Amino acid sequence: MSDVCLSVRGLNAYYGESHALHGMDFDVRRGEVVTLLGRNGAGKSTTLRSIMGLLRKRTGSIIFEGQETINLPANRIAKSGIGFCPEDRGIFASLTVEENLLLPPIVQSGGMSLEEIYTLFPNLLERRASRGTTLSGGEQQMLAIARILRTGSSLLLLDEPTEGLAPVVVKTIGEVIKTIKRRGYSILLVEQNYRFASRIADRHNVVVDGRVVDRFGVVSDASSLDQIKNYLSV
Amino acid sequence: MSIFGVPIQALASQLLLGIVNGSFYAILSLGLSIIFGMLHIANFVHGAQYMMGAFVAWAALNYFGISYWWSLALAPLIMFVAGIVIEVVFLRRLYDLDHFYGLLMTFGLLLMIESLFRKGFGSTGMAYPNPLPGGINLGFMFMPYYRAWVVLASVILCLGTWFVIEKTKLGSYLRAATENPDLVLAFGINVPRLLTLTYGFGIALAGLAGAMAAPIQNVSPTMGSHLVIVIFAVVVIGGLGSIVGSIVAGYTLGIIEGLTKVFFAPASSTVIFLVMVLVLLTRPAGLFGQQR
Repeated sequence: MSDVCLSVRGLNAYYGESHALHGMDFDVRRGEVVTLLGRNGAGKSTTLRSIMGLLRKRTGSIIFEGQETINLPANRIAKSGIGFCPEDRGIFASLTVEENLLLPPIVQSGGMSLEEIYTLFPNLLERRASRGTTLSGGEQQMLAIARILRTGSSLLLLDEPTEGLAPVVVKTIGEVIKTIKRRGYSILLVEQNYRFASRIADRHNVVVDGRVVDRFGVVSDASSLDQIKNYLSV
Repeated sequence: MSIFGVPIQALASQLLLGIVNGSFYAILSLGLSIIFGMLHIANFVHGAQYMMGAFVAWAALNYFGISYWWSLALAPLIMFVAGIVIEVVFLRRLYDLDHFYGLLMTFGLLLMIESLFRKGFGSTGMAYPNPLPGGINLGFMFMPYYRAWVVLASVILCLGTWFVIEKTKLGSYLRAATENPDLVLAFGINVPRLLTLTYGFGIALAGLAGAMAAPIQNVSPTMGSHLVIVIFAVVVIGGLGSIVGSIVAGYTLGIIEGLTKVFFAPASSTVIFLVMVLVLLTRPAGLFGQQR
């Protein structure tokens, strides 16, 4: 049995006529935090949406826990144990904080209990009866991550969790991701913020024009760092 | 005793009639509103489905001797199944297209269903016996039992529906899927099935309203065709997609219509549209709709 939980090979995806992904290749091993780094429009979010099945026009191979998911509908993919935290956070305005938290159904045993989640995110406990979108941006991001921890999903797809947040909140999100990593979750993280990603990720994939053009482990030498900065700068 | 020169007896009985009409408006616009919120389909065939509910009750009684009270379960059940068939066969193919196609499709279905019923049953209409004859004299007015039952049943239905949607787990799925169906799907919830069941439920409500209307209206193929226009106005006034808006606007407009009959009868059939114009001019999203 291999320790790879997600294996993406030759993934192509299309928005209508426009060809968005041109053969993405990467793996996520169990318990790892792996990033997709790249500029706006490189195809990072599209990759997550394709893995999730929200972008239906896709070809190639996406194997999750030994099962080919490329032809499955989104709800079946979610049921197989992948949790999705979208870029816009996707907090529902017509649901309370707690309803938002309890919305995703349990797909497997082994998820965090509501109590554990409220211990990890005390703000959410305080605000649990408020409408979801009355939370601050940072709290909404916490809620968006928290609600997929309950479901027992073993792989979490996080789409730019730090976008638009104050540095102190970004730091908190970093701590949260480290904590959930220690609990054994595998995480595929989409980021533009390399400083943030470098502190929590095990491996990085650089995405340019819908394909992975470079891969790094934990970077220590200055030339690699310059190379990454070069990939991400506009 | 009189108010503005109108005997209180006449005022009270028109008020009651208004509340009874409002009860039907509320149940029907509730279904229409839920369907529009979830499926983005302006369900023009709603009036025909209401009519079919009345025919189920009528046919059950005349062909099988099934009583009114059993029809209250039978009509919504049959219409629930009919709704599911319509959603699966016709409507689900339209979700990715412009809303206009949904309107055309349901309008076409309305014409077809009404024509078929006219061919089968003629357009004169049939009587349905009152299951609760008699009434009680309240002093200031006579209250027929059946009308009191209709008002009570509709209040229970509306409150029940509101409760399920606003306070239960299933309701939270519906509200979430109204806002962002993709994300709800990505959480593992079978949204297409949710849409089918929602449509079935809305149509079941229409069928139940039809069965309840059978004893007070002529059961006729065209009984829903005028109503559907009024119901759309009610939904627009309440705010498209708003549950509370539909309920409140349904009863309120029934009452306004009833009172208009007392004070200026010629305007009673247009007063709802006058209110609609005024509401749209001041609050384009309706009284309870989300202003954008």
